[in-house]
Amino acid sequence: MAALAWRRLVFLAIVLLTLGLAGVFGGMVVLMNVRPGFMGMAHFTEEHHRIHDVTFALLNGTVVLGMLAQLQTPVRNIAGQLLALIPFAALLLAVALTNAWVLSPPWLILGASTVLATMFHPAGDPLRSFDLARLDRGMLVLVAAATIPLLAFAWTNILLQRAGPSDHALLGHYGYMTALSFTVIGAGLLAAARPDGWRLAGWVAGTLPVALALVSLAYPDVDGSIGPLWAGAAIVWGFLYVGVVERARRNDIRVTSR
Amino acid sequence: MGDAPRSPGPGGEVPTPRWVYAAGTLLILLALGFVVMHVASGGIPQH
Repeated sequence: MAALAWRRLVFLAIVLLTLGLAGVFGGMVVLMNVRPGFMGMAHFTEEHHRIHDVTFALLNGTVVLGMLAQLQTPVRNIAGQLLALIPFAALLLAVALTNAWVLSPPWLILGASTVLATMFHPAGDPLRSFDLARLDRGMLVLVAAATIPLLAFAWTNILLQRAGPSDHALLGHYGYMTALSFTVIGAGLLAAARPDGWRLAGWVAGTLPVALALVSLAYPDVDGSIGPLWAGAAIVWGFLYVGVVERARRNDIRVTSR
Repeated sequence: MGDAPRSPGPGGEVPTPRWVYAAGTLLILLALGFVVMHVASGGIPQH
């Protein structure tokens, strides 16, 4: 029991560290905008990188949301912890499929911290919460339907990243777009499996494509824009997916209240 | 988040299996190795 209590404390410390690191990296980006030339970088200040910058922010935002969920009864939120790991896994996969230009200390450090938190998660075995009987077919079907266009989108960006050495490729931007595709699929599958705390993963899976769609519509001529047709499809899919998530949640509430 | 927890036991906490520690250690070493490699090869690119 003492060991579990220590693990809980260590876990909380690592969660706070991870959130702190994310805050530091976010703060650095803010400084780059209010003090041009800060650290010799210019994230979010150049329009032609805007969609890629937003994509990177979405990946890190997913990590932050998953870790924030751990501040309240983490033992009931293993899905949030696994959600926080997905961008890291997606980026590692993107590196493996493309090149080392996708590597960047912020996501590597945040990823390492998230993995460390998972090692000390109060739930213990992260796979213990999974049960085939809880799989939601509606969510699974929607993820399956989105997988082909998402993988096609990923493949396009993999080829662009490999083609290099454009300024986008050198900064790993196409790798981030690739990772976003994988993250949507991963979060969607995680939510469909419905382990403890799955609803957050469902909302993230549905919201990420909508966010990419909105920024694509706002910057239609910027590299990374998915165009109005695919933006529309992404928005429809996102809303459908969240709708199915909420329907599953209401069914859960109905079953447990009997 | 509105979904019923299914973890056993009063607190739902169980010891962490060894494979989680092993896998986690490998991933952390991989990530930190990449950080070292990235910084040693030229550092953070200008953007």
